[in-house]
Amino acid sequence: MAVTALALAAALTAVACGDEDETTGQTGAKSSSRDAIHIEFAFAGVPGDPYYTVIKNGAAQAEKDMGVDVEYKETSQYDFQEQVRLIKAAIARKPDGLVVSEESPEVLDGPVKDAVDAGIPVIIAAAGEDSVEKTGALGFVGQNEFEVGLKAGQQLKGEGVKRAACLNPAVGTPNLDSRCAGLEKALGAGNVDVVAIDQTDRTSAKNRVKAILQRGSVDGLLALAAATVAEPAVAAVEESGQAGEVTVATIDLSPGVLSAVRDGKLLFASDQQQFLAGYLPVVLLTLQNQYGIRPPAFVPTGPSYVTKENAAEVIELSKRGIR
Amino acid sequence: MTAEEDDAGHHPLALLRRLGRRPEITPVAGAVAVWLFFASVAGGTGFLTTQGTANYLEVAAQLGIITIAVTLLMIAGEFDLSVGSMLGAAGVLMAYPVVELGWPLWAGIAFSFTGAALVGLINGLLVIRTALPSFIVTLAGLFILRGVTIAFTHDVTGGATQVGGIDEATAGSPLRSLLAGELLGLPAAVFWWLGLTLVASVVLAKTRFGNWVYGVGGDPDAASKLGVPVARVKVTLFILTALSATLVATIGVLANGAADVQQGQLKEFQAITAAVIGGTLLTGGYGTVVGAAFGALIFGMVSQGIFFTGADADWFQAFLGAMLLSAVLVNRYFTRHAQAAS
Amino acid sequence: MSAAPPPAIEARSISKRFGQVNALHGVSLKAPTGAVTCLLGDNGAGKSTLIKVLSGVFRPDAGHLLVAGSEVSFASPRKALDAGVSTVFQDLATIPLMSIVRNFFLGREPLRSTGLVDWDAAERTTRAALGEMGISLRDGSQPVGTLSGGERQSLAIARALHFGASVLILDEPTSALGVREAANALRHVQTARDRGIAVILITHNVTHAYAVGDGFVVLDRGTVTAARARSAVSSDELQDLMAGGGELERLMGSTTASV
Repeated sequence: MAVTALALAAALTAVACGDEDETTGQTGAKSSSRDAIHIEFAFAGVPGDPYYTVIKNGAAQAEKDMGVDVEYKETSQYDFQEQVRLIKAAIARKPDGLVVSEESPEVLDGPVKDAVDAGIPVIIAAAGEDSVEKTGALGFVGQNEFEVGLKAGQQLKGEGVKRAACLNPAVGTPNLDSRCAGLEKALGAGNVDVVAIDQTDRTSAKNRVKAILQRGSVDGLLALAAATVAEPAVAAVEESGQAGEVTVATIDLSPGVLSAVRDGKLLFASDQQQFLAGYLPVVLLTLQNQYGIRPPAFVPTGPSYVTKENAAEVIELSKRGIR
Repeated sequence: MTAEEDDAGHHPLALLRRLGRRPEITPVAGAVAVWLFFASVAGGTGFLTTQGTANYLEVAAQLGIITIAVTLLMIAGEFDLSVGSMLGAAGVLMAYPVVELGWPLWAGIAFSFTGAALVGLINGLLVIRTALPSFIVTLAGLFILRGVTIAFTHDVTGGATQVGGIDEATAGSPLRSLLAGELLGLPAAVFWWLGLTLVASVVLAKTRFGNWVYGVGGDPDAASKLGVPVARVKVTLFILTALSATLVATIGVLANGAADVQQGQLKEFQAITAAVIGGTLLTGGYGTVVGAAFGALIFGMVSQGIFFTGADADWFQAFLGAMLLSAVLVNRYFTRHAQAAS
Repeated sequence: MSAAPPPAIEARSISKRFGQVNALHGVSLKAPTGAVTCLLGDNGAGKSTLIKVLSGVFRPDAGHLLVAGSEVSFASPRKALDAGVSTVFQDLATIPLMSIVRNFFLGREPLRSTGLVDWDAAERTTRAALGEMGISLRDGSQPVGTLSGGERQSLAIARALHFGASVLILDEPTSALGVREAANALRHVQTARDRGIAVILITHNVTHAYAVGDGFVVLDRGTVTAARARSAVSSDELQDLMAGGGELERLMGSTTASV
């Protein structure tokens, strides 16, 4: 009995003392040496997904360059409930900085706000720029998905495309759906067909595109992922003999896609430069921790367009998962 | 009046009755029904052309090759949930040495087949030695194989999730046309699928091993008492499922030009579904590879056919499920009707 | 003086334990050729365990197994089958979903020169073998599950007989059968014996045992409590031996006069 009372008292004291350190608030100066800084990523990417792997590589590079400790946590499936649990676990660990990608603001705004309220500096990266104000996060590093789709659509329209198919590997995820919505804005309502593509089976993906082309209802294709969607789409266009009539473009890069751009089979590949979405938040959170420098509210990382002219130089970098 | 006298006067009906009792009739009927559906709804948009047919046949063939081995294993009373991950792993095992280490294509292929045989051997031995349900053992294999594939590829490529450059590395190789070429407008995979289905069918119907597969699945204890080498049969079948995944992976990598760590996900689930549609029992001891081939055909037609109809992609998954259910129900109706007539 | 031929199969001091349980302890049994040896005992006496040792399912922990006088060791049921020891287990080891012909030849399928199974010859043989048992086969490809219990029993016995057994072991062949089918089964036992096969019949039914047995061995809790030739025991005495200790009681009670 006495032992328990003593233990309880000790625990309460520790908590009380611990709390004192957190009164500095988000922008207070906490100069710690870099190797004591611990930053966590809580992302809803699937291991092996080419897009998220580039972000992961960016975070790893920043870890080396800044000399801090970065832990990149991702879900085992594209599952936002699981991501919520990752965020909650991170809150419990009280890292010096938290980076979250908000593909689903409805589900994730709440936990992110909790993290902010717990005194953790949060940066939203890759997706979810509208959530910065709602959650009180420090800033956003990434691109506006709707704009990306819109700009891509404008380029396609410029090439004479009237109707396009938006090849979406994850129909139902807000950020990818936004791109298709942006595309539709550019081409006009009713001129975009959203087509679900199976990323895990390239043969099925290729044949699905072939089926669409056979119907003859579109003269443009926008692939929302490179290796797993655009490459099969390019193959489908070639095998259907419609290389001259159908214009293909993609968001996201891969070595195969860059070769296709270089060879003129793809109009352009829009590089989201998601490497920055992994790299910059680490830099910004490190500086915020050390010197109290407040990160900018919005850092647009892309898109940058890779066309026939500059494709060749980017290929090597894509092979290494940097672009 | 006896049944024989009735038969004598109505020959076609008697034949129909006999056919109706065969387990293959149900998936054949289902396949015909699905085909008729798409032919009527999407006939004008290319479903009926050679190109359109090659389209779903290619998908059916790749699933079908794996389904053959999965069906044999299911008849013997076991499951292999790791085939999808094996597919992804085999692709990388074959592509990496060829593209990055400069191996000749045949060496890369031999390497991946050897690795697969090893995985199958381990699966089989684990199931035999631990006496755990194969469902559990191979489920673990599903995760382990996929995780190792992703980590390995990420490491050796310096950060990517695929190994590209197959086309350049294997240009002009005769093995390419054998595995990923075309004949009569159809991809090579279709011929591999049909050929292997025929071989497996003969094995089940006309060899000792085939009889043992049925026996082991029906009652492994009884089979063992009658002198059947139960362990050897099961291990062989696990090796076969791994090899079938490797064949499909090899065909895929050569056709697509790259090995991707995510390929093959959910394939094990689709293969089991195709086998069941084809008339193989989940409980073991009963099944047919010809039926399974039609099951894979139904799957291919349904998963590709909707894109010919121009329907809204949001409804794709609901459509797929509804079509599969209808195929099975039509199967059931047909069997009962044929049996009732006798 | 010529030596008598060795028993077709003999167990000498066989012991088998499972964990803490001593299933068999020092059990010896001789089954002469062309004779029916009945193995009797109540449930749990160890009869099934002994049978599984004789048929290669279990390996004994101690003791020797001899076939035709030479010591053997069965590493698997296959080895026992190859040595001519055929067993019809209580569950019959038939597989309901498989056809009659496939069941009959499971494990011993006949091959053509091409290496493929000769199912036509197999069907003919099955039909003939079942015919000898009094069963006329309509369609060899019908599943075994469509046969009655007695017919399946006959199939199992016909199968064991066909594959040239020198020893035929039957585990409780009559316990699940009606009167007529039981009589049928016992007739098969006699047929086998007349062919020169050594039959070991396991049963807890003394009437059935006495109807066909030439020798009787009683097992009780893993040990042999009695071994008698037919000439040396009556049906009632056998009943007492089965009950365990009845003979002993009579011996002890012979001094008390009944009033």
